[in-house]
This record gives sequence, C-alpha cells and structure tokens, in this order.
Amino acid sequence: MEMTSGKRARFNRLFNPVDGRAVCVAADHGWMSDPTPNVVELERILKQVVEGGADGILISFGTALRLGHILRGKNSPAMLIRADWMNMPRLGGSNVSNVLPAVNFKKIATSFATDALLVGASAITIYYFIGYGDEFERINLEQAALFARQCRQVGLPLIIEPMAVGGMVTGVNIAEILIASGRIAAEIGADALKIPYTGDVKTFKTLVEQAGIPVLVLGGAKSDVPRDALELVDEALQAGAAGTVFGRNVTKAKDPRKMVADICALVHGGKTISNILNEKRDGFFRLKTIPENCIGCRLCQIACERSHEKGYGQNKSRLQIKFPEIGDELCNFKPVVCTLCGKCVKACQPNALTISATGHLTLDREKCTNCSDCAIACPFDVILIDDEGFPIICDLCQGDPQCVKWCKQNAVVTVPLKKLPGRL
Amino acid sequence: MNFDVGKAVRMSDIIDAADGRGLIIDTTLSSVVGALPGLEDFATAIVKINQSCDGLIINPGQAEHHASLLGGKHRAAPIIRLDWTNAYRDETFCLPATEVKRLMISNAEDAFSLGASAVVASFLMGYGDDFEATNIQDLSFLARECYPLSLPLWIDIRTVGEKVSEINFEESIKLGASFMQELGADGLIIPQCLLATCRYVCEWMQIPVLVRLKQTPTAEQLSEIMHSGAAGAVLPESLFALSDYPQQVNELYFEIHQGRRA
Amino acid sequence: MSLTNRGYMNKLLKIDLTRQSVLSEKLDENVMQHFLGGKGLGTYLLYRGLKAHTAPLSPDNMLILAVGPLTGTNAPTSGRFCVMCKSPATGTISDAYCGGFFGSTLKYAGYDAIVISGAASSPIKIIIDNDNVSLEDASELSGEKVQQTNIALRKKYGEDIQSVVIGPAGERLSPISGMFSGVRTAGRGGVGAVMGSKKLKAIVVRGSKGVVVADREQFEEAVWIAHRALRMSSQIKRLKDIGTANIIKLVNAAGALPTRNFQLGQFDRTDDLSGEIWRQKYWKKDIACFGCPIACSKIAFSEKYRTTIDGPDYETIFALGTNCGVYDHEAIFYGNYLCDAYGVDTISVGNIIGFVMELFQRGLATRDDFDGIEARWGDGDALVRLIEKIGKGEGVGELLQQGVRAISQHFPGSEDFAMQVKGLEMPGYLPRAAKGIGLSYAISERGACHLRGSPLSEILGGAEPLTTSGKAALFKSNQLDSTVVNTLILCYFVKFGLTLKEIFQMVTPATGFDFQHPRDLEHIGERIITLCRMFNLREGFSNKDDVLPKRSLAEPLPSGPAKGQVVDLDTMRAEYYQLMGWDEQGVPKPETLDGLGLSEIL
Repeated sequence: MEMTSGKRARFNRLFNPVDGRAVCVAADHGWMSDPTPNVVELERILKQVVEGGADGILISFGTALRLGHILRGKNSPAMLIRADWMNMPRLGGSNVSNVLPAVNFKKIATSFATDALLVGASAITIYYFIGYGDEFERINLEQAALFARQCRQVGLPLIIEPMAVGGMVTGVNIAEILIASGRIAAEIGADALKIPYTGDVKTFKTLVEQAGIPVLVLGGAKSDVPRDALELVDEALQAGAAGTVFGRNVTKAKDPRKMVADICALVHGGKTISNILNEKRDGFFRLKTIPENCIGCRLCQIACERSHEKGYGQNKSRLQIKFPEIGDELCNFKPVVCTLCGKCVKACQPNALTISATGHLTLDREKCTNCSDCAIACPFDVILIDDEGFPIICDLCQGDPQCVKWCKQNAVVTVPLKKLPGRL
Repeated sequence: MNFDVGKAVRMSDIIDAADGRGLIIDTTLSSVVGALPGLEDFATAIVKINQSCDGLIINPGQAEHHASLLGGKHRAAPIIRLDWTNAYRDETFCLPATEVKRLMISNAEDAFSLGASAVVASFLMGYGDDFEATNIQDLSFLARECYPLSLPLWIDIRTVGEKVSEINFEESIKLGASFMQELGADGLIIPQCLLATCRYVCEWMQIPVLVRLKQTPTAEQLSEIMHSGAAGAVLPESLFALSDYPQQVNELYFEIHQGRRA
Repeated sequence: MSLTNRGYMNKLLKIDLTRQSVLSEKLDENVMQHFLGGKGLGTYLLYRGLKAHTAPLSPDNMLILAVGPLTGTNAPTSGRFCVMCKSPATGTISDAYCGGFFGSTLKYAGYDAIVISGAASSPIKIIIDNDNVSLEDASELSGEKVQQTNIALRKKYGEDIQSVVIGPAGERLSPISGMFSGVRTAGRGGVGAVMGSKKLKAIVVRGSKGVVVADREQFEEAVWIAHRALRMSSQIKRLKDIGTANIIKLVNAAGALPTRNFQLGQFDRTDDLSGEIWRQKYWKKDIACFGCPIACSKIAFSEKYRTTIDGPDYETIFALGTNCGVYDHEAIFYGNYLCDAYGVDTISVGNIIGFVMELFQRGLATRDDFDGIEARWGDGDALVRLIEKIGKGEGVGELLQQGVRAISQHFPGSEDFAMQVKGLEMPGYLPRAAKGIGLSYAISERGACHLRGSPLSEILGGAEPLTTSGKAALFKSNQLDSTVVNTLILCYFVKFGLTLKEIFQMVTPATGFDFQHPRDLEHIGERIITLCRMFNLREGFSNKDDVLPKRSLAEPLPSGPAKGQVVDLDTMRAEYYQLMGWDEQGVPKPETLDGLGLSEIL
C-alpha cells in the first residue's frame, strides 16, 4: 500500500517498523459513555498504558489538550484522535449505568483533521456505522469521506472504524457486512481499519484480505476473564490483522500496564497465550471450592464428564454441585470436589487406588475388587460407582482440570499442594 | 468542441488522441458492496489490465493507495469517482437498501491532487423529484469546480430508479444526455441501449459518449456499439470474475482501437 | 444415518393418560432436519397430531414438552425445555419456555420430547426414571402450592430429580396459569391449565445418560467461542449484574414503559424500581439455570415476609408495578411470591389488576364488584389482595383468573382498553412508543408476545422506535432469530451476546446436519413460523385477528417522547405478510409453502 510521505511518516510512529504491527489502546469512553472509573481515573491509567508499551492511544480532543503531555517523547505511543461523537452506548447497548438513556442513534463529526494536527496527533479515527438504516449510513459515509479528503490534504493517516449496528444486523449477515464495510472504508479513503472481530478466523481473514489496508481489531466490552481478550488478539493475528485497538479490556483491567504488556507479547513478542498467562501449573496441586461464588450452572460438571466420557452429562462427573438444601431459601449451592485428601487411597485394601507420581488419583482396574470402600471413605461423597462397580475418580484431567477451566465464577479453583498424601 | 487545452490534454489520456476512442474499466462498485469477485486483491487485479485499457474508474481511497499502478505512458489513466450510492445494493447484498441514497465522497480538487486524468459522478435517474434536484445540483457544482482545474468531468447516466421502465428507458437516456450536456459535462457514459438510441445520442451530443456495458461483450457486440458512434465502452466490475479477463480486455482493446494492440 | 449420537437421544415418549399407556418411538431424521427440536418439533407434532378445533382443555389436546439438540451439552443456556399445546387462553398454537434443570435432565433420561395426551380421572404424576416411566397417584399433592409441591417431590424421590408442576390455579384450569420447575416458569398461554385438565400435577424426571454430538472437536471449539462472546457482551454483563430489570430505565426513557394499564409510557417512580435498587435492598444471590453463564435469576429476600422469591424480573416489575402505578417494593415482592405460589403468570396478573384499576378510574366498577376491594392506582395493598383472590380463585378471583379479555366482557365499554391480543395479555412494552412492538404483538402466533421480535432490538438502539418503515423487515428478521433460539432450545437472552452465526457454528457439528450458512437456520425459523400460521388458520384465525386493542391503534399517547403517537398497524402488517410470502389475508401462498418444504406435510 502506498501513502503520501506525511501519512507514511506519521504511521511509522504508530506501526512498529520491525513487524509492521501496532498495539493501541482506546481511551475515549468518557467522551461517549458513562463516567465509569476507567474514565475518571484516565490519567493514572494512561500512564500505565504507556508503561505497558502501547504503540498508540486513542483519545478525544479534550483529553489530548489535557493529558497529551503524557505522550511526549518519540518512543511513547502515537496519539490517535477520536474525531467524532456518538450516543450508541446510551442506547442500552453497552452502557453501565443508564444515566440519561438515548433513544435515537446519533453520530456527528467533532474535530477537523487540522485540529488533530494541532494537538500532535499521528492519526484520526472516525466511525462508520452500517446497518442502522440507509440515511444513517449516508451521514456516516459523508463524514468519513470529508475526513478522508482533509487527511489527504494534510498528510494525516485516517483510521475508519466500521461498526455493524442495528436491528437488521443478524448472525446471518454480520460477517458479510463487516467484510464489505472494511473494503468500503478503504475505497473511500481509510488508511487503516479499526474493526470488530467477526467471531472466527476464516471470515476475519477474508476481511483483512479484502480491505487491503492494515486492520486493527477492536476489543469491545470487557470480559472478566483476561484470557478472552488475548484469545481474540491471537485469532485476529492468525487472520492477518496488523494489531489491536483495545479499550475497556485494557482500561478496565485490574492492571492495565500488564494487560498492554501481555497484548504486546502476543502481537510483537511472538509469545503464546499459555506462555503469557503462565497456565502450566508447576508442582502438585489440588482442587478447592469457593461455594459463595457458585451460581449453580453445572458447567464444571458437564466439562468434567466430557473430559472423561463419550458424551455430555453430569451424572458421571467427578465433582458435584449439590442443590441448596430444602429450607435454604438463599440458594447456597454446595460444590464438592476431590481435594486429594487421600482417604480413599488409604481405604483401598487391594491397593488399586493410588496417587501417581504426577500428583493425581489413578485406578488400577485389574486390582480393583469393586468393593466401594473408597467411595464409603470419601468424606465428601464425591466418588461415584459406575455401572460395572468401579469407582469414578477425579484424575485432575491429568493436570489440566476442565472444571476449573470452565468455571469462570472461580467457584472451583486449584491451589498448590506442597506434599502428596502418602499411603500409611 | 469547447474544451480548453488543459481539458483536451487530460481528456486524451482517456480518449485516444489518434482514433478518438477509449476502453474504460470501472472498479468502483466495491465502495458500495465491498470487494467484488476478482477484485478482492485490488492491486493484483489491476496490474493485469492496467496496460491494456485507456482508463480506469477508481475510488479515491484506491487512487491514493495504488497511485503507482496508474497513469503515465501506456497505462490506464485514473478516472476518480467522486460519488457514492446505495442504489446497487439489491437482494444479493447482505444488507439490501430500502431507501436510495447518494452523496459526494470527494471533490475536484482532491481528485486532482490524487492525479486524476478525469473525474466521474453519476446522474441517477428515476428516483423522484427531490432526489433528482439534489443530484443535479451536486453535479452542477462539480462541473463548475472542474472548469478552473481543467479537469474533465464524465457523467455516468444511470437509469436505475423505479420510475424508469422498459417503456421509457430509451427516452430516459436521451433526456439524461440532454440534461448533462447542458449541465457542462465533458463526456457522458450512457447505459447499454438499443443501437438506434445510441446512434441518436452520439450524433446529437457534441461531447464524447461512452457506453456502459451490462456484461463484458464479445468483440462483435463491441464492434456494433462502436459503429453506432460511441467513443468507447465502459466495462463493468463483473469483468474481473472472468477467468481470462486480461485476454478479454486485450481483445476488446484491439477491437476498439481498430486493430491496434496496447 | 441414525440421529443417535448427533445431539439427539432419538426417542419420543408418548403418554396417554386416559389409557395410562406409555410408548416410545424414534425420531424421523428428515423431520428433525426440517424442524430441529423444541418449538420446531412441537409445532410439527401439534400440526400433525391435533385435530382442528380441539377444545384446549379437553383430553384430546396434546401437551408437548420438548428439548433440542444442544440441550444438556455445555452450549450456553442449554437446560431449557419448551411446552407446546393449543392454548386455553387464546385457542392458538402456544409455546412457553422454562429454564432451570428439567430440560437437561429430561434429555439425560433419554428423551427429546414427551407428548402427553388424554386425561387421568384423578390427580396423577408422571415419574420418568431413565427408561422406566410410571404413572403414580398424586392425590396427596392436590391443591398444594408450587413450592410445597416441589419440596414434597424432592423429599419423596430424592435430591437428584427434577420436576415440573402446576399450582392450584393450574388445577382450577385458569388460562393464566403456568408450569413451574424449581424457581423457573413456563408462564404464558395457560399451559398450566392444560396440564391441570389432564389431572397431571407433576412430572418428575431422573436422568443419568449423556448427550453425544456428531463432531465433538468442532463443537467444543464453537461452544468455547459462544461462551466467550457472552462474556464479552456488556448487555450480558448487565443481565448478570442486575438481571432483566437493567432495562427499565431505558424503556422508560423511550416512553415505552407501560404505566396505568398502558395509558402512559413513563412512570415517575421508575428509578425506585430499577434493578440497582432491587439489588441494593432485596437481591441476595444470583443463580443460574443449567449451563448458563449469565445467572439473571436474582434471589430476593424480604424482611417483612421472611421469604424469598426468584425476582422480580423486568416483566413482573412492569406488570405488578408500573402497570398498576405501584412502586411499593414489598407489594411487588409479595405479589410475585403469590403468583409463583399459586402458579399464575405475573404478566397476565399485572395486566388484569391494571385493567381493574382502570375500571375504577373510569367509574365502570365499584368495590361491590370486587369483593369490597377498592382498586386504585398505586394501591399495593389492593394489588396483593386481588392477587390472593386470583391465586385462590375465590370470590371475584373466579372471574379475574380468566384473564383480561373475559373480564372485559363483564364490563361493557371496557374492550378498548383490554390490553390483550388474541386473549393473551400484553407484556411490558408500549406499542405506541415502539411501533415494531405493536406489529409483533399483533402478529405473534400465541397472542401478544415480547419474545418474538423487535421489542428489545427497537428500544435498545436497533432502530428508531417511532417509525414504521422497515419495521416489518426488522420484526421478521428478529422473529426468525428467536424461533431458531426457541427451537434448539437456548435462552432468549443469549441473543444479547450471540448471533445466529455462533449458534450455527454449534448446531452444525452437534447434529451433523449439512447446514452451510446461518441462513439455513433462518430458513428453518421461517418454516416453523409459517407452520404455526397454518395451524392458527386451520383453527379459524385470520388476518382480522392480527390486531391490537383500540387504545394502541386510536388513542394518541398523551405524554412522553412518543406523545401523540398511535400504531399504524395496517401498513406494517401488509408489508410483513408480503415479506413472509403470505397473501393479503395473511395466508401463506402455495409457492411459499413449497419453498419451505411444507407442502408435503400439510
């Protein structure tokens, strides 16, 4: 892709010259959404984002005036200016508190390209909403085209942000709409895209290929599970994305600096998610429950059964969620898991049940006499007996317990185990 | 012909000075419905034909990003499209249009700085009075803008509105051509129509007339059209879906320029 | 190729309560490919099995409980089941959905659907213990409230059973009664009465099998993505945090929050009724249905009544709250409690009481008509006392439990503000303030229904609420979407985080059906909706029944953002029929039936 020298020079600040990729953070939410903590504490968060090694930060014009100084220094992130305003979050789509809800979708242009230059911007970003109706799209394109023209004049890169929004956007057409909108933006004059993930690598790859300009994937609403954001980055990169523009998943993270650094490790560092999150457990561990976190959904049980059996179910799972007792009107679920206490091992006369060197229960079916002593000895009644009389035991999924992986409530977690219970 | 010399020079990038004819290819529908078959990778597709046609209708974004592929000797001249419409979003598009819209996405000056040899915008006929009036207003302003820049303005007459029927189609083209010549267009693109209509319009107009083909034609079909007085043809985007489009363009160039190879 | 190990248990359980017979049969692969399960299967079975003009409360009516190919897997919200029958409230085909754990357990017991016909002569319950199905006497549970019935069943049959029961209202055949499973309800359309008419008090199920899918690896990947998409949706997060009540301020801001029997679209004490306040004062715990990461159920505890309920949800807050002008939390809480205990639908109950209050407002009724209760707007005490009457069916409750349409027949001049369509009371969105909602209430095959189409899409930024253009297309698209969701069966709320695309990605590897694109699922939705239409036409319904009460059509809204608005239904309805390939009378054209592959069935 060719660019005028002005645009090229400014893009060089955004995209890493070695790998051509960029990790950006969107921090323009105070301009369009609720004054949530990530908005109120923007200064602190931006500093952390800079420390995390972001390549670009998307902010409003006012924030640029007020906090632009944080971006001084040629190795600090490039400044991207949000040049328009809209009320989509307040239509109920993504707001947090619904202060003064909006009813009809509006979007307006608010800063010219030259304004962005004045505050030291390296690019501007504007929306292109498609799907809310023909007139609304026309207004969006008109503004996008105006900016494209201005940006060419002054040599400022234009990042268009296509968003498929509206009642007529459905699962049937959303990927196609996003793919088309990316190309439309490029035809109109975008130099790069900031665009939602289509949901799968295949369609996103098509989007990237057909756009013909660098594609930065956006993050959307924050997940409570940091891995989700990283998976999205990883998949977008597989599809050929040139990087990311993540907002809430960074600015609302417990540690924005780390979140940025983690994304950078994926985008620039060639690391894997498992690597970054240090998912491989070192040493021995056991399961632990935190009952107050349990919402009773049984996803842990299904995951467990699936990990050990042919089908999905909950009757052969190695852990159980007991329904609230009769009379417990506050619905306290009681998750019970194998805590590797070793009582079953001790109770097993024929020595069929042992704890392996790798730290999980194993059953020698040859030795097992189907006596059920293990189940009787289990203090939590977590050992069930199968149709043939063998105990159904938790083997911690050989080191990667699926119940823990699937319990996003953190009601079932792992804790390190210093010493394995030995046989007396 | 009332061209000033600037316009004449630029016009000759598109309409060959030797034979007064030109073969043009349109690529701009991608700004309406996204990448079209064969045009997914714009640069790769263009490289295959940019030395075997006279002009390429292109959107401003692509003109900027692929400037090195266009213009210059023995290469297609960029004709930049300055308008956009959702009129072509039918049921085959993932989000069919329910209400027709159009807008200007750029202006003459911008196109000029992007290296345009000419600009093009559409006159969308048959959508009612308000629509027509604003369309004509935008095109008139554009004509006035192009004049001091000596930038040729092509008007793409599109009889796509619901008020155009099989019955009034041919006459609509004549009406559109008349309006656009009066408006100050430097060249017209008219829809493929009866040869008689084409001949009538071409004889009447004092500016070059290109015929926009519905599909990529055979050499014989093109020959007929050229004989009716057209200055050339505009091939639609569906061209790129053909497996042998580079050869076909070569053949059509040969036909238009009466035995001359690109 | 058999359907076993392709997300199906490949077994249909047929129980005839008159003959006390139990049969099981295999599913037809061709039928399942066309109808998938849930609502689709139920519609097919009803259309084929039910004679036209069968009286809804006669033994001949069929009561179908169905699950779908994703039920019991780790696909999000896969524990639900659907109940289908001919509705005693409307006389139309009717579908209602219920969360909890019954659906997944039924699947684990080895069934894709139960079809119950006939009627027992004395109270009975069905006990399904995997392959063993038995009918047991239920006299001891006769007249028991819902919670007590549940507890009794758990005590008798063990902790690992799931049950679906009716309360006293269902036994009394009230057309506003529902079926209950745990704290969840299949509320609408009077399915409780159909169960009651069969003298069936409870269905108990124990299941210990597993569900096997066709391509596990692909399915796993798709399910993981679906869960992730839900976690990355802020609307889902809002549902998680403060339940369905999160939208009350938005609906109020749009002027679409039905107030005082749909006279107004805004309620001045809305902030008091917001989810945030309920969270602060009442909600103690979030609980999830089977396989659901959302946990929209909020367990509320009232100090005053020393008891808990699951809720109130948005619809209940609207129905018992704003629609009656009530903002007394305790009254709404206790009203909800009573509805759950006696087994009636809160939406219908709130409509009934709002209607009664308007009768008082207009001087069309006196306290003598209502056992001495003077029902004035905002009177929480009157609300609770009337709900008690309805629940017990005592005194005027005998009339009230029949629903708004029946009551209005006793009060001449009240039809214009009897807020019902086809006999089903309206849910919590004001048609005049969101036109697509008007269309969806008028068209929905089970009567005024909020789960078919545009309501939320329109109020939550999907389109401009006050325009009519494009609303037919919007409704159609939303309706097909939710039909697919109801066919699989997932929860309506997954639509806040998932699209048909993610759902398609799960269904295809689960079933092994050769679906190429989400569009193929949409096509199934269209087939089901059209078959529902054919069912209703066969029952004698026509385009004349696709209407709204006069209030919605001709009474300009006096205030709020939609001031002066009425619903221009005719244009939207005509456009909708056309989009569906139905003629001007709303009858599907032969070529439409052909295109949907329905001709051979009909």
